[in-house]
Amino acid sequence: MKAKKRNRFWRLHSLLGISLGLPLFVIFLAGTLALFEPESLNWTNANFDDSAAKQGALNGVVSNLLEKHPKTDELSVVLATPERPVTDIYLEEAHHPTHYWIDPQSGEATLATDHEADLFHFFVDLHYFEFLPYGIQLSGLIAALFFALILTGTVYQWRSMKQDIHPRNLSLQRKSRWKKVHRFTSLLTLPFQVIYSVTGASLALGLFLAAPAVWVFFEGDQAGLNEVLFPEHMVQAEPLSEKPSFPVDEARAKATSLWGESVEPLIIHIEHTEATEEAAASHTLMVQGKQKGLHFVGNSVVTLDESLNVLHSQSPTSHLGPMMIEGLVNVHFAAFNGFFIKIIFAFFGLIVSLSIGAGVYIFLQRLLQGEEDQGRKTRFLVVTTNWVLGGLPLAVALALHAAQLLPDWPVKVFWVVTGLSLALTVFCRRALLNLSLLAAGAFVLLPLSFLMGQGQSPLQMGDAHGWMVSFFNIFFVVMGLSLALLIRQIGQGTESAE
Amino acid sequence: MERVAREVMLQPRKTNRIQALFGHVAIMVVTLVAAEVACMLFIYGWMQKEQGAVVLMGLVALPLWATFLTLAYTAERRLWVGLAFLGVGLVGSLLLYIFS
Repeated sequence: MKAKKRNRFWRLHSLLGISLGLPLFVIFLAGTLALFEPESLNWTNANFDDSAAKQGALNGVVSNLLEKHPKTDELSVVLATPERPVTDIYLEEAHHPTHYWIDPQSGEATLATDHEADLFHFFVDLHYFEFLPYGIQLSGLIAALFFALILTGTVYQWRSMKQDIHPRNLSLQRKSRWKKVHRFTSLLTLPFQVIYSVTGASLALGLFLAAPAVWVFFEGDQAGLNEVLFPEHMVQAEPLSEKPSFPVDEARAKATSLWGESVEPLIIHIEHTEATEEAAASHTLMVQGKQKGLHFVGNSVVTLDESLNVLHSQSPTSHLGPMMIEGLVNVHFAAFNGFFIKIIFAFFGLIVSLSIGAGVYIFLQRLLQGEEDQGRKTRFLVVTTNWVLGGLPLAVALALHAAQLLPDWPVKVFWVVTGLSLALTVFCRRALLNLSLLAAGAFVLLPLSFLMGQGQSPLQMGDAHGWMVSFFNIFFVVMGLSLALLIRQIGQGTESAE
Repeated sequence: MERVAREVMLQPRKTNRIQALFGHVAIMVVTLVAAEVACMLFIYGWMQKEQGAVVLMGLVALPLWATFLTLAYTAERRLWVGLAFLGVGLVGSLLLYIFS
């Protein structure tokens, strides 16, 4: 390829990198932590151990809740698993959602941690920019443009790929260390980057893309598309009784008898249909199960009426639409029923964050070298880059401390630290270095906060809960030490941009 | 005096900025339509047998759009490439209209 043509790819790569780099850094860092949202309960509420994962009868608990909330329209019971050792009950009364979980000691439903205070749930929201209007669509657009970023970078570096990937060339002592780090980590994580961008874009912008398809393939009928994608939700039970019942335990037993021991029931969803002049009220029950073991797609669904007659049955591969959606979700969130796969995805997610951070830094350094008289735009870029690259890890680490020591405050702490780090980057020199050092120290000290907050040892073994606790604490220490090592090895490079 | 003149000359003209913005938006829309139409044509046959194939469209359309955008922005003759994508979008839409 001619140098002129290659240069065009480089210019587009730079333009996309400087405008999307920081949002991508936020998406990847938040997304890496969001991968562990189901398992995080083991670390944030360590009293939910393996004993809470034992599944008892649920009809009594559900009846008591429905007496408290008589106008419930929808109710979902998410059964406890070794990964998330608590049974959650989500109910919606007049479009107002409430989240309960079953207390392992009393066996009664108690109000769960408020959604606003659940830090790992907040990481999911942050991953999708849900606090912004049209945040999900924005994150989808960024994911799609990330594909163009990958494409332009790959074409531009095509000739020197062999050199870039060789660890011998990854000398952190040289002047161009940020460039070496960016190229090495980008190449190392290339397949993961493609997976994240393709699946992320289609998951976040799927509805937008479906709009023309509805007109072409479903004659403008949205319900037709829904039936193809979510057939289990489109079936409605006939009214059978004047007073509808909530046979949760019976529905679970029926699903188990249909599926056999190889499929584990996970979610029981009940949808209430209002009584009309013509018909009495009714309930449609939907039980979702997951195949045990390691499976790329393993969802089984059965929809029942109140008398437990089967209205619709779905195996993991019986319906192409749901099967492909499940595959997409599983690939994006590394949910293959295996915790080890999640750890691999999280590791590469962090490496991609590093690659993006290094890439943004290269552009910034080049911009600063090229401009003797630094304008407002350059100053703005310096401040925002230092703020996001340094402030975000610090805000995450301190919010995790708050999750242990001030359980109602972690999200508030996140925003306060984010604001303070912005002030620090505006007024202090070498802000990135200082913020990163603080973040590294805060991550390393997280097991101590766990010990103080939960009153349990940070290193536990034996059951699944113990392993999860150990994993989280070791993960945070490793993250802190890696950050410290990174600052020590290539941290001097930060001075030139401050 | 010379410095002031240079600064005035370097100031971007507002009309150019607006024109450029319209240009970028046009390229984005044209390439997106071309990518969507290409994907719909690609899965058309499969959709007659199994409508769940529509998910495949969602998976492929955005990376394809990003690829088209890259091609449009790195092409030597951007206008011609833009017109080619416009052609793909129009002809593809016509074909889909005829088929359906």
